[in-house]
Amino acid sequence: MNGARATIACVLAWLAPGAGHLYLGRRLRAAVFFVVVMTTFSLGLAFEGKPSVIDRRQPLLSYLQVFANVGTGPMEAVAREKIFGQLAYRLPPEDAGPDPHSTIGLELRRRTQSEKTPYGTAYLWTAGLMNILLILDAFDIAIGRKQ
Amino acid sequence: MQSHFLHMVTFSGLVSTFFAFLSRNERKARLRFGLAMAACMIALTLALAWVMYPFPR
Repeated sequence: MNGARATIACVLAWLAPGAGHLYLGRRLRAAVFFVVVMTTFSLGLAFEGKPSVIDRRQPLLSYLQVFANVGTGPMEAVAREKIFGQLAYRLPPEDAGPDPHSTIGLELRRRTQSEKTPYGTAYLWTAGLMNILLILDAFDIAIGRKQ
Repeated sequence: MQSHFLHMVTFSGLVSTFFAFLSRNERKARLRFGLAMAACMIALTLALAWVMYPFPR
């Protein structure tokens, strides 16, 4: 049954990079995708990448950034929890002004001032976007649209 | 690592490896596609940097 197979492949692909391809029998691709996405994500963390949060001042952009982050899967949630001390996806209203007060706002401010952060943030977004493409690729393979 | 260039090369390598495996099935085609994509990314970035050099801000 293609529908169930495609669903399982997509869910696995989101849970761990390459897992969807492994489930579909594409072992080499699965291994390469796992290494590439994990390396990109790890570089993002090593260079103090900023996990994006939804900011009411920039709704469209911040939603897209969070979407890119979430694409990486559960490991992004674990990293986010470690960085902010909580699983936060939204900027608290009190941090919307020039002086942040919450731990999320303070951590974002600290990372914004770091020279490494622009690189790290780009790596984090790229890892998420790569994984979203992997989910779509796993879907195409599962329904027979691609080899 | 604080070098823009090293970051750019690393990023190009990761992205081109990813797309080579995503879009090609044979080994030779993957290698050719990956190398061409990485070379294009690096060359275009350097060209853009050269064009932007007179405008630092």
